[in-house]
Amino acid sequence: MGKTMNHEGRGINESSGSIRAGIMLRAQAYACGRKPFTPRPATMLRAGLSCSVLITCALLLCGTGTSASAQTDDAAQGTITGRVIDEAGQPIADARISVYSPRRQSNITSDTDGQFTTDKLPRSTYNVNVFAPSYFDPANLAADPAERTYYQPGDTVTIRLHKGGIITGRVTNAAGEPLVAVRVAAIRVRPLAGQAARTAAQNLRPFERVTDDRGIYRIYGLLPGVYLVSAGGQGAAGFSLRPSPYDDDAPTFYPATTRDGATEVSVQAGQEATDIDIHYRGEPGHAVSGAIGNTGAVAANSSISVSLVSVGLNYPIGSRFLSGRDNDQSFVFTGIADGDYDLVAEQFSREGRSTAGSQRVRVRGQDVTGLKLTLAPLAAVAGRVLLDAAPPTAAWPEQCQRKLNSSVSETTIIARRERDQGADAALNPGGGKLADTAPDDKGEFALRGLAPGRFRLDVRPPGPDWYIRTATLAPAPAPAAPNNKRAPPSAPTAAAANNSNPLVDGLTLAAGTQVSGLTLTLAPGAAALQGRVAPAGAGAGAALPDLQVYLVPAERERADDALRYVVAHVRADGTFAFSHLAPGRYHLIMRPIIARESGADEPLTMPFPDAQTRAQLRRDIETTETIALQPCQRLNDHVLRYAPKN
Amino acid sequence: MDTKAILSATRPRPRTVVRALLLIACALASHLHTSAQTPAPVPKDTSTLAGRVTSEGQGVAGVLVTLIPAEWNGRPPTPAAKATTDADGQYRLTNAPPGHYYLTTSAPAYVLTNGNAAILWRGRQLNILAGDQLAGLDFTLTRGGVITGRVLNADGKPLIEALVRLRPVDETDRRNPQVFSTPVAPYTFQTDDRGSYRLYGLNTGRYLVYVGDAQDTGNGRVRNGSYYPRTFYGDTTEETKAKPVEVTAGAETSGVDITLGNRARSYEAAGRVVDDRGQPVAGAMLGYSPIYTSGRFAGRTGASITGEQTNARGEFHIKGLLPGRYSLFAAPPQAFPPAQSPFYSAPVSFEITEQDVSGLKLNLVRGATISGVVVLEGITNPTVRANSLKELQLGAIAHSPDSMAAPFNTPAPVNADGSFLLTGLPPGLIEFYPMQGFSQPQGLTIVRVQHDGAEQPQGLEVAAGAQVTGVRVVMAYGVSVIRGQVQFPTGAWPAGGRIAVNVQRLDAATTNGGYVASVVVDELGRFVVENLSAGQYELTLFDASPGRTPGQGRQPADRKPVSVPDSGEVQVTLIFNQPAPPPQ
Repeated sequence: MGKTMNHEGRGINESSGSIRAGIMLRAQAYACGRKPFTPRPATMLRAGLSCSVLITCALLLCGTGTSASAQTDDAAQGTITGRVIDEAGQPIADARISVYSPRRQSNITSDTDGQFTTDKLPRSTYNVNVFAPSYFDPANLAADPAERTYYQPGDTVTIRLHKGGIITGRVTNAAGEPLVAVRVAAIRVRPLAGQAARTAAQNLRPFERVTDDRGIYRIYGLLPGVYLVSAGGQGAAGFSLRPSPYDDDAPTFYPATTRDGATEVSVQAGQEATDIDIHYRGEPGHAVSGAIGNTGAVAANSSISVSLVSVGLNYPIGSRFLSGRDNDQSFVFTGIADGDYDLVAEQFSREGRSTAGSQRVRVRGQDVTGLKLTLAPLAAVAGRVLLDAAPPTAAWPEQCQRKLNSSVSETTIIARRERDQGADAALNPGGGKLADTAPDDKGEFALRGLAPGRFRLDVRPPGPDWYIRTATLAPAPAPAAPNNKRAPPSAPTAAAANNSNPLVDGLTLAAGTQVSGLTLTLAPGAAALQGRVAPAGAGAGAALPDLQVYLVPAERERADDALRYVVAHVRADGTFAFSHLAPGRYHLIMRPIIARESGADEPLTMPFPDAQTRAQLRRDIETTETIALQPCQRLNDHVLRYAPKN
Repeated sequence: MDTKAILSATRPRPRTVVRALLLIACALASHLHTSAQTPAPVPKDTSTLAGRVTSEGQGVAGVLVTLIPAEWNGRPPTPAAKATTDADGQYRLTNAPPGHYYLTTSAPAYVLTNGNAAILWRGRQLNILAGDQLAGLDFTLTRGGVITGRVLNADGKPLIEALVRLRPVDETDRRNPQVFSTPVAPYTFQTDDRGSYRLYGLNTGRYLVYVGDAQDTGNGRVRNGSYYPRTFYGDTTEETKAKPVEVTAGAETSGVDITLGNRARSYEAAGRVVDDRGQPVAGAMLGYSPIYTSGRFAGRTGASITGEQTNARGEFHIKGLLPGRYSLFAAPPQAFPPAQSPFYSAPVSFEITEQDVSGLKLNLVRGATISGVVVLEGITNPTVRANSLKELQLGAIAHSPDSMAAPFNTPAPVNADGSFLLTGLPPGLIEFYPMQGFSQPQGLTIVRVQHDGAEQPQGLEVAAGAQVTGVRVVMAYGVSVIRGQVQFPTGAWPAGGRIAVNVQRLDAATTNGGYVASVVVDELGRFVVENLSAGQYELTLFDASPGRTPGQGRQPADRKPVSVPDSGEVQVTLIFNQPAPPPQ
């Protein structure tokens, strides 16, 4: 039987997730990939598109390529079921649910009781995205993408959506007459005070509507946050069935200004911000146009998205989509206001994002034409997950035997870029910062489309009874080349185990690096430990400081095994939890967290401390207690006394 | 979307339309977002167009007037010129290059009420010549009517983003494309977060307002095995009991609320696909076409691929069907890019009433084959010759008694030596057509099809499973132009406001009876036929007004043979003599 989870703690896609989702959908129409669509029906409607046309054509052009969901698969294991409810626990019908993994996608809708059940899914780990018009998913406000929850067939999920905020008002011209069918966009520039500082969902789908015949607009379903509201311009998709007289205008921001003078609008969940009236200036915008410079890098079965990202807003104000089949790889954005922009192109093929390029564009009082964007290969990390065979029956507790029925394809591997690094961030304002995948039945996996930078790998074993025994990297990463041969995975070496471990130290990827031969060995018999910290001694009665709990291997022969050192945060209520632990003896060490500089990027929380921390921890072990964890043991309610030293 | 309307306006032959529709739908899909292309450089002999946009005699300011190329060439065209009206409603478009255009306005809250009914929803059709100075291209606008209301579900909760649709009650209104001319973006037809909707810019008339689906509205909104049955204003699912809404220009009709009943279950159709030996076919794609209660058959244009494929046992299971009759077909398993298959599907029809349908059996039949050679005639220029053969494909449409046989047949590649092999064809009269990449080749036309030396002007008859060899498909290349002017001795346009010229080739034995094109005459009396190869043609002028039944409308008003040279332009004058009304 599957586990039951609450959805509220889920994390979110990387920033600009939904624009990306839209891109993917169209990308699929060109690329005919097996990796399925990510549906955004509402977005599609807003763009004035007909999904059915796209999909029909995808099918016509692609034949069997796209409809993976229709094929029966003997590996199908079970369904993911769930329920979509609102804040009051009332069911939300007709919510669109997308359950997807690298292997399969299931698109479903909730019934009148808010219930949904996927198709039979093969063993893998799945993301769950939910959309219901006028609602938002609070999980999209989560601070850390690591909080994203992955599901497996058999799981049951409850998804609680919240009513979104609303911005409404009227757009009039200098004569006070209403402007009809002018595009109005709500751009979320930051979270509300008190919301998580790092909101991954900042650039979620553009909220665009048009005014009616009275000049009135109403944008609903907004994430809580601080918004700028603008009228005019071409709109994000840059396409409409009807040209409008406002298409080539630079947007007028609320109340009647350019972006720099714009008044911010705070939006609370379920609340309406009214009378956000815009006095339209009708100032002509400029055109930004160009083409892909190295068309030789464009594959016929690919599609290319070109986005113009406002540097000031850190927001993609428009996207264009080119087909690799075309001879003409040119693009035009009109209605662009003076300012700095990043022009970002990404090529998608069957396997996902393959190449990208970007260029800073400065618009100052005139059109910018003749741009040539160069596409360069993106980095990728490929490797293999191996499951160690279960040890002889007799030596193992009975509970282990029952739970070890896992498939390597249920492993989740997530690569996250550590942080934006100065100029590098400007080069890659788009994607490539987060990728996740699940291995195939043979354990092989590839994380593709990664931007340059330092990546952390987050490996989630297929079940609670598996832990990561080793992680090794073949010594020499192959150079970037379109047809590079995969380097054979090398055997774990002492050097790799002692000095550098890809899970502990991360992977630094230069542009286009193709890393292969990452081998992850998972072993059965993992233990778990849950407990709480109780204030004691001088600290009794006082509030706990921010604490971390470390596990340090107590066996001497394990002292050099970096994956046996793990860390967990102590939650506000004093509890902490470790899972996927190698069985064995551990020291428990508690330490306060040193406060970060305010405004600094939050570091990614990683379970494995670095070499320096490990060395410090080893110096502290003499004074601490040890615990022994048996294979598959679940040790709960372990109490740690926290007595601050004076 | 009214792609269909555009096409049928200019290409009345359904079998040609089908192909074009598929092409254009796909081109649209792939290019929807690349519409803003760099405009072509403006030639020297450009023209100027001017006029005034008024409403109730007053100039309307701020209206966008655009000149949009009439031909799509695989992607939605971008305006060749545009201007916004001044305070007095005056506009002036300069630097318009010669070509075939629609001149159109963007004033969403208004409807066009020009006296000249030739203004269809795409605008005023114009063939612009070099140096034209056209004035008085006026537009008369009337403030459109408005319908507002709310959509609620059975529990009284607002239905968010429900699609609200209109249907003119009057049959003649229904034929009037202008009813659908409201340039309102599709999403404003949706209800908002309060379940409210507001439809504006509507023509005067009576409308049925409805939400939800029935077989003839498509089944796009079927979700999780259920859908909202189409419910009209008046809260009824029966069209005859629906309350029509009266719309008057400039007036608002509010409170047009619709309460939907419960969601209804959609149905499933299951069965299997077998080959000619009775063996199951895995990976076959399934498609169907609705057969409407009126008896009207959606045919190939209404056919949709389900996304469903057969499993290893050849079984399929199509979900989300609404009650009604369907014609079901299977497409053989295909790779990408689409490849020829030896099979075609014999369609099966079935009816969904109040239960699922199972046990359907579709046969993939081994089809006829046609082999032969494509001959390029009279093409001496090596560049033209090479370009003509580049990516050249030969397609075949079978005009079978069963129109749903092989609806998605794949063209065959033409090899460098001109040879081709078409497979998987159903029996019937075969019509050939050329393809280049994903579009129809420009300037390359079939002029003759011969089998064993005999010409096949009306199509090549192929029997079931036949293996036809020795077919010669002769193609010619030409970019000659017929430029025509229609004169109106009586000074009047036909009442319906639309006349067209049918172009037929007399000296060729093409498999479609010599049909070349059908072009609409613009309001200046001009028409242009392009990409013609040298030969003898006949032009037929006829009244093509909407609402005319074929018998009444297609009576020729004039007829003239034209000899087209190898390259260049022919000037033709046709006289519009109003044909006498047919006997009662």
